[in-house]
Amino acid sequence: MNKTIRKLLSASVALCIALTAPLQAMGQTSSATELCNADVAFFFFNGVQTTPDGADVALAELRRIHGTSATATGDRIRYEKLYNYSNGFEDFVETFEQRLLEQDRLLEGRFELFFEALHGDGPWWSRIIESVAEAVGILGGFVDWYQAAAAQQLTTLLGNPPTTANYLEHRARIDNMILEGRKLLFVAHSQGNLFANAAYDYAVTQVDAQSVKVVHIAPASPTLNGPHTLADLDLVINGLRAVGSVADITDEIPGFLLRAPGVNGQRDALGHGLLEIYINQRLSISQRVKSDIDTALETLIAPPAQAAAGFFTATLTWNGTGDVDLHTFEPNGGHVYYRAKVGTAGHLDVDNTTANGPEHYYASCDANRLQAGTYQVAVANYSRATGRTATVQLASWADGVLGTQSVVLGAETRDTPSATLFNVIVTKDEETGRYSVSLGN
Amino acid sequence: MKKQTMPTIASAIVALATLSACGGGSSSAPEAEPASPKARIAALEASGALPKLERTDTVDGLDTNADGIRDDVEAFISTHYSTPEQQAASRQFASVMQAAMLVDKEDIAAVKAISLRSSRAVNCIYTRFDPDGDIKPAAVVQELRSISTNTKQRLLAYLAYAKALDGTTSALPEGDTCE
Repeated sequence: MNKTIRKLLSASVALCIALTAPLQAMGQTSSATELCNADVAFFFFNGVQTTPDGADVALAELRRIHGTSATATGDRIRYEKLYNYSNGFEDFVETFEQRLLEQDRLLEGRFELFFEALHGDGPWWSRIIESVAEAVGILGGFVDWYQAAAAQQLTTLLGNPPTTANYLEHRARIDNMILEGRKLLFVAHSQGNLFANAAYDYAVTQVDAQSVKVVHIAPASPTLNGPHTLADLDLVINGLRAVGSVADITDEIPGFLLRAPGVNGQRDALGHGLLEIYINQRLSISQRVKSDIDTALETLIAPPAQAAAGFFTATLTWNGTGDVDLHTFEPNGGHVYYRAKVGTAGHLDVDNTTANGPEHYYASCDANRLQAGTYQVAVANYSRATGRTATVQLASWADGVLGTQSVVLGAETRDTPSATLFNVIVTKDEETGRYSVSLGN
Repeated sequence: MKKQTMPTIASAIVALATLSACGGGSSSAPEAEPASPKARIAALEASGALPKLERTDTVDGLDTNADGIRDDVEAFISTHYSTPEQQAASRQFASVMQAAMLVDKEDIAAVKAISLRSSRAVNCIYTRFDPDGDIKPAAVVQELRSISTNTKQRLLAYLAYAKALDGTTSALPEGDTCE
């Protein structure tokens, strides 16, 4: 077979979607169609000083509000977080420690109060202050300091915006969603807006702008690519306003004393919290956010699908011209690559011979095809790619990205893989019939 | 109408505390308060109004039954969450928190694996606690994170884990992800 004329796309792109045999995973009894099918990728970019599980909570609350099916279109929505860490977060601990030593070391060592203190409110602090009035100065002083520090941190980030290295995995995930024909919705809070804007700028080079929309919440960036919501008493963003331009205020919120707590039982003294302010269904400002997201969900247009979803997928990209190949060795010994695109358990459904990729392998969502065992995912420099960096992102349907690995390619090896990047282990619980996937060494 | 302004956040918190105190407690007769502020904090802890936590100088802490959850965290869970299902979901998340603090932060694959377990545990909590009930899942996650990171050493270990996840992505799982 002449490699240069092989088709870029397999004719059976939508094979997985069409499969109907039942498969149980993640505790669900679902048809394959339900399990491996989503129309919208709802990407959440978290705000300043958000922990990974805090971002998951935000995502879970957004899912509670917007559901797993869009009201107007019936589109099935898949929720993912694109996490960013706030540099210097650990420095806040030092200041907090000093505060705990105030008032004759009243609260010395009680670091369990840290996360409540970031919002200036919470049940433990309330009980402490009610019993020991002196403690109010400790909390208030920390929150006053934190307000200035958070604004300073965002100012620094605006001056040194995230680089490609910061969102390489984000980009690879966006590529994969576009490849599979998903509509893209970016919802960003606080500093997450900087990452969302970078993601948007990248996405519109890969897909039509009508297939990707951004909803900005408390944007730390003056650049807007979609509707935004900003509270008048958001003291973090108001701190940014003092040193530069920020988006216009859209809504008034009650003063701290009059605010209803959010779903975590907290008010946010800074007026900036996502749960406490912006998606707090007891505050009217949340209706703007909900409306913006609903409108975006209604108006997104799906890009053409080039690849199928899978129980797990491997997506190969590289940085330049040349022909790099994705090879998958299935548990039964089958070798899936450009010369043998259809394996026993999966399928190479996107092949690229010229530049950048992508190439895409998916393991079937059909329990009758999926095999338990170890899958080896490898790459080869077929031709003209010496020195290129090849990146493979491995993702499961249930959990999203399991890992991203890169390798600098050596000399051409034609059909022989030169680097194994992942061992993917699919296991089946014989009692429940559930499959799960994880990465091996 | 002029909106309410806040000279400092501290003053607003003072006002909130005052209002809270004006609301009165549940008891009808005034109780004798311990004299010193520290004694009053200790009394709150003794009454269960504040968590009673172990503060040894290790990240691991005391885990007598070696199940990957500190003894004091397990005691907190048993006391605060009522049903066996809620307690199991809470233990699932607490064990992930402990693993997150202890994982080698240079081993990105291991960090990522814990992150995926964490997402499943958060999703599990959302299936075991009613978001419209008295104990809300968002509050449970924060409460468990807070008591798990109750010393400087533990809090910094957890933030190092968070930092290692910078730039990563993961899905919020669906269905029953309880172990």
